[in-house]
Amino acid sequence: MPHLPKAPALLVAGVLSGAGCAEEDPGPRFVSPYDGRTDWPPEAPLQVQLGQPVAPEGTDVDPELITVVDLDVGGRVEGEVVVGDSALWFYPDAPFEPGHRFAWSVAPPHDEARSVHLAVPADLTGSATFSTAPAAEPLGALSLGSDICIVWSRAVPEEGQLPAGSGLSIHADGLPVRVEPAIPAGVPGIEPLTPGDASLGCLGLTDAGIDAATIQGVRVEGPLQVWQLTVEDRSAEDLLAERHRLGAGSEEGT
Amino acid sequence: MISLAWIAMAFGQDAPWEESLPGEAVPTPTADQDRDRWGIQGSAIETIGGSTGVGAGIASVIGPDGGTTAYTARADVVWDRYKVSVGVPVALYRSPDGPRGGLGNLTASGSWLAPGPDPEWQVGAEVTLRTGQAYTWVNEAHQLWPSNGIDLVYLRRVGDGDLRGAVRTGVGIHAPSGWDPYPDVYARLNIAGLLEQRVADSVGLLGEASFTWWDVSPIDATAMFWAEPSEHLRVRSGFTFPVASWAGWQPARVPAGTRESTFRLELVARH
Repeated sequence: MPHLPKAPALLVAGVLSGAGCAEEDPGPRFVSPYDGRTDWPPEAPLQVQLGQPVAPEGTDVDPELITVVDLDVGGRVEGEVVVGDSALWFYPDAPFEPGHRFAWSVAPPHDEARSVHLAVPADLTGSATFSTAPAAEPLGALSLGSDICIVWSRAVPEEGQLPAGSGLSIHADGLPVRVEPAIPAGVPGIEPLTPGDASLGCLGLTDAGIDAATIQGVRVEGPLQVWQLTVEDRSAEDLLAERHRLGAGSEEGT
Repeated sequence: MISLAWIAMAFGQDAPWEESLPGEAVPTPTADQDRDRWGIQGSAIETIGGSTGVGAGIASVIGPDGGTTAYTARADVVWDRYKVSVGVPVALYRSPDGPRGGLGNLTASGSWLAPGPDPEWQVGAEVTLRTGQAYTWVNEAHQLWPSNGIDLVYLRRVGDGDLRGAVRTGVGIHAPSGWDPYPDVYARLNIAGLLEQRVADSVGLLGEASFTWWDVSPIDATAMFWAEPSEHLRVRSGFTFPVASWAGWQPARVPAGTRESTFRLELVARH
């Protein structure tokens, strides 16, 4: 038998040295906009952040992977699903219609045989709604220490304050209360396309002579809609993370 | 004087010490000239022996899970007891946006052959070099999907005459682009065996079975026939059946069942 040539041995070393060393810790995975988001910029793409690259950039993707429906006029919103760095994006062919409400879905990927398999985590699949209308809507009522606060579905507006500018009135256990000026709310670790895409405003219970510990529900009345919220004992970050489908990066994909 | 005369005659001949016979000279055969030009030629098993030549082939996966076709060009140069082979495939495969094409991986191998016109064994190294972006596969994991790697290969001929066979053992390491279902790096162990039967002067049959791990198609069975329309030309055709894939034993997420087979057609010209 011949001696093992040097060149293949060097190549083995090269192959091994190039493999596995580029591993990076997976980042957070989430969808954006979160479920219930309003005031979404019409030209912004929808994002499914996967935590780590799952396919070569430019890979052809099943166009049914992300679908968007205009709930006001009905029908599909035409657009393109693109694989980016650690994310899938839905770019609408034309900007989303301003003032409309939309539903969007992330479907489990249908893999072509003999092709890259998109490892989309199961907890990122599902449906959500968003709106390009500027109105603020309550996402939840939270018990935060001695306060009862409402998480609003949009960022703090540059002018005016929430919810006064939205024509909403708030009742805590049947008594009208005011809401203090909202402050930005978000989830650490998420970098959405639009910074501060939610906000938090606490109820002025003291002014109304109400003990926060007794409040079970909050009623938000708007010109066209009424929301009856059950007070939850959790943080705004937790609520928003749930609506972003925020997950860790190491679970099995679909 | 006699010595001087002999020296003068000697300068007048090429080899004065050899006896010259009347008639046409017969050239002394060399190893290359005497070699079986086809050697033993498998599908997963590289040709053992053989002579210098070129070839082109199509391997097309047909069936519900098919849609990938690899077009391969290959050249072998054999000199004395050395053989160098180079091959490069081009793939046509389907994607959600329709058919897509791409260059596969360049494979280059260097082998050392046992002495004799029909080498008993052949040992060598095969290097896979990433040259394209064809994220697909036929029956071998490292042929199309972008990857680098090296395999050490030992081939042995078994038997002689019209019915003969060969075995292949190989071990290697590969570093593909680690997109699902491929790992970032994998070791590759391959064992294969074939039997070929010459049934007429220019027609023969080939049966081959191979086991490879890690691979996208771990167990394959191949049946082919060949015909030689001329002394230097051989046409081969047949099917590879991915037995393990049919049973659902493959790393890709595909359902079990006879959902694919690979049709092969090759044209080989040898010096």
